[in-house]
Amino acid sequence: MEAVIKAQDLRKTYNTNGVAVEALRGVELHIVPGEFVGVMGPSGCGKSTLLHLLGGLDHPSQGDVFINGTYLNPLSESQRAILRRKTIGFVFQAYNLLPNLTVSDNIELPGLLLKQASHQVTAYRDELMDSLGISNKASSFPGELSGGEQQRVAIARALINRPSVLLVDEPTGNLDTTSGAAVMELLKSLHEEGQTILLVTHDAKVAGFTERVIFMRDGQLVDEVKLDVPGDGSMVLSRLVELEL
Amino acid sequence: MKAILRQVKANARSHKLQATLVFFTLFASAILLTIALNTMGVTYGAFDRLFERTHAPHLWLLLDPVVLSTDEVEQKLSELPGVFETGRAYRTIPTTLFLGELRESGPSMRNWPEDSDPVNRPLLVEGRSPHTGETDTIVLDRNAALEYKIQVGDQVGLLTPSGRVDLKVVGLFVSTEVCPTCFPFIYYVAPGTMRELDVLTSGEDEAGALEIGLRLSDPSKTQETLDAAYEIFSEDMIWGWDKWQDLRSYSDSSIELQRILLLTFTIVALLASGLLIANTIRGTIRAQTRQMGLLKAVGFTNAQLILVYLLEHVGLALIASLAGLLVGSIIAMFILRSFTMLFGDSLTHMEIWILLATPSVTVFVTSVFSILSVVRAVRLNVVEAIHFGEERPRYRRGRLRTAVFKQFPVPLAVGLRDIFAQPARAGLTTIGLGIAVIAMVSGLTLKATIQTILEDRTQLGFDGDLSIWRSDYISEDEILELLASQPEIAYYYSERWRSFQFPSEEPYYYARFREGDLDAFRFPIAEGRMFEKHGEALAGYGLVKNRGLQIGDKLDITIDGNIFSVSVVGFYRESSNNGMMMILPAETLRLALPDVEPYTFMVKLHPDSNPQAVADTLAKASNDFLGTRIVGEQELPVNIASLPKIMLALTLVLGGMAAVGVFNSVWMNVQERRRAFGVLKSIGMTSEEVIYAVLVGVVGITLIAYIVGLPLGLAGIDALINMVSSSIGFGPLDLTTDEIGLAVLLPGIVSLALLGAFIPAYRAGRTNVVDVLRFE
Repeated sequence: MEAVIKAQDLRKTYNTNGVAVEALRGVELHIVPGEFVGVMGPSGCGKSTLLHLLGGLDHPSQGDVFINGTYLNPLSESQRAILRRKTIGFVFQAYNLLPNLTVSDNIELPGLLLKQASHQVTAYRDELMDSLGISNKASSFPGELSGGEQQRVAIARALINRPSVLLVDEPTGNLDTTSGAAVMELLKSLHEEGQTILLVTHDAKVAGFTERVIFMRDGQLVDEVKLDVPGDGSMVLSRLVELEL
Repeated sequence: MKAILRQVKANARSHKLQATLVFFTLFASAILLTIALNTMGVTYGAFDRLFERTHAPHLWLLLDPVVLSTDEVEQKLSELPGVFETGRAYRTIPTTLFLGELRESGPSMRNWPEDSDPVNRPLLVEGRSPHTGETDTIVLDRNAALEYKIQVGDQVGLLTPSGRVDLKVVGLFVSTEVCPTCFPFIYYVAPGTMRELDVLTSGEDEAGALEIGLRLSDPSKTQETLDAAYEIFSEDMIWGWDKWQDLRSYSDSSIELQRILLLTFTIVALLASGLLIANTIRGTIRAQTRQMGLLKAVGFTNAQLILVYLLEHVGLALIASLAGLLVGSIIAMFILRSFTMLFGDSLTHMEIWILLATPSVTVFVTSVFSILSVVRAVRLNVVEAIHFGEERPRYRRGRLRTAVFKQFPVPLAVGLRDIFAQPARAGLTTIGLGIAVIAMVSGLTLKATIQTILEDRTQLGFDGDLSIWRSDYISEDEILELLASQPEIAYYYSERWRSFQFPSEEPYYYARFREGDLDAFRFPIAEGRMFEKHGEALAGYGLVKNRGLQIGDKLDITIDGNIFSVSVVGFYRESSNNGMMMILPAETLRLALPDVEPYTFMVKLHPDSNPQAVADTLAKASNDFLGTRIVGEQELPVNIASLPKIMLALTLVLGGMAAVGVFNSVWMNVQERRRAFGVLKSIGMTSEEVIYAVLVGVVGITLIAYIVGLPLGLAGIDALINMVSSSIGFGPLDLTTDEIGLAVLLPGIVSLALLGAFIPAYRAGRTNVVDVLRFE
């Protein structure tokens, strides 16, 4: 099956005050449509960097990235932006909603950016808000919502263009346990509907919601487990202990 | 205090960009302030300074040169009570000079004062004084020399009974005796020249007057001294007088136009810079809201925070204002050079209050805006300040905002919505751009109006092909005979100038007495009609304003002791003597003074005639006793001709400030919205779309500035032109609008704003998403 995300020998080196820091050191990744993959590892292991490279937000120092078969490396910044709006949905730990836009405007923004018909965008927005349980917040501003609600708005915004893949960075990092669990249930149900998701987290419980977990250490993939029972974080936890992550 | 100072130092180090922005804003403002203060210092104090430097008299007396001897006059006047010093008495003779291509009748010749003369020492600003015994040298008034483009070393011609004699210009001087740009001017020759060149008589009569200047113990008591002089000399021995207060008033009037425009310029520029300071400081302080929250969290009190930011900005203001004072003083020297030269100041006059005022005002204004901005920021809830920083959400809902969002492409919608994201900043930037639009609209309209006047000289009172004036060495009959002998001449009218008074009033006014083919000429009569007979008069707008005249008013006037009753039948635009003149039929003057001959003539030629050929013929046939000038060749008075240049300078400065204002505003906006741009790029907005979004907002506020500034500019220049026109007695003027210029102005101002916004917009487009998401 052709991969939705393919990364080959992916490397990224940052130059901080003249000191070269290798954030990624030869990552190989292959994610097929419909997969729900988690990337786990301690802080600073390169998880977010990997997500940024896969989403075309940053250039790799070396290696190749393919999204839906499109080779990202030769694309200009604008071409990558257009690819992003068509095929990738981003969900960030800090939600990153635009504070001066209402919830409905925030959700519709990528759809309008893609120049979809306004009524179609609105219809799908309503559908998403219904399914995410935030339909009563349409005219609220992000600052008026709880963290969990904001993350649901961020998920709705990421889904509005029906992306091939959802890239999710620490979705529960700013949420309390209940809200975090609700958000993960939501992602799980999206996956069950066929959405491909790549999730980055350092929380074993969150990683337990995925069906395949990749472990990272010092910019490299060090292990991978397939979870037979999604939602069971204990297996992830025991693997973490084994790997001393 | 240690913590505060440490934080001030840390801020200065870490916010170099904001500090630079604030510094240059304050620097530019300090330059403008220095120019403004210098303008006031130069324009309001120049006369008094020159008066003291030349030891000028408080009272000039013009006496009969035949009846009175020089020694007798000096002796008697020095004994008057209140007279502190008496100058030497000099003959002053009206003459005709050939200055370059021009011939001017009226300049007064006087002997260069003796070194021992304690009163009225003309200030020699170039060259030398005439040496005793030289009869072929002349020292000219520098303002007149500038007007006629004469330099030291040039030759000028003097009309004498035996024809034209050339004199070499050996020096230039300035004095307060004749106001700058006023006519006729005075010039000096070496003692003995008058007799040598035979100009002491006009025909058979003694020419000119004996003039003497008096310095008084109490300068305000000029009238008392004059009354005392009348007790010594009989009334017919005193031909006239000049009080220093009147000379100062004339001097002020002669530079009123430039003064009004320069002050308007500086006030508008200061207003614009005030807006710029307010906008920039407000923005830079707002950008530090999160930091203020953090400082409060670690224990800083509100007062300490205010002190931190106040010290930081006051420090910048002090350095910027001193640098601005230096640069502004140098620029002011060049801008105000024409002013300083008028009054013999070699450099911009720098007074201690200007040196103190620029830093004081800059620091004060900076402190006020800093305190206002910080107070607002420190009142924020600590958690909110840390959480949201300067980008606190604004909960404004509205159908229009939603409609904008839905109906336009996203980058356009984002740009348009950004206009309202920071309404105060957008408002201040719009005002800055609006001021530039107002200046540009004013400049274009002023230029077009002046062009209209240039193309239609009748507005200045010149309708005809040739103006002719005479010397005393040719009679009226001879002139009329010469005019009649020229077949090209179709029509002409003659004019006599004579002073008049209102009964029981001291001031003298002048009137033009005209006769001839008046119907064939157009006169700048703005209201009413031309006189038709003796007893009717036209009043210049200066006189109308001065005396509150209405058409139909009856006035009693005294001409040489004869009282006439005249009815005002119209108002006209008079470009001489601040409009305080009248035009009367020559018949009225003849009733009082039958022998007064006309002095000038205005001639209309038949179509296809050559004015230059007629002028040459008349000059030759009259042995140069007739002067001629082709109408339309006169340049506008320097003070009017310089207006478009002043407006251009104003436009350039304000345009530059508007561009800087846009740059500052957009730069701060981009700084504050870096995270938003990062998010927009993360969801698929391209760099070009981000740049477009930023520039669209700028275009939006520019359009608002244009729509508001256009009518305000037209109304403003209308008011200004009419105020100036009224102040010089020229009366109301109709504006000419430059439609093409105003249409081109829109893309022009948009381009200017885009120029100012491009760098910050480009920076917004280059926002690194990863950096923003990771660090902001």
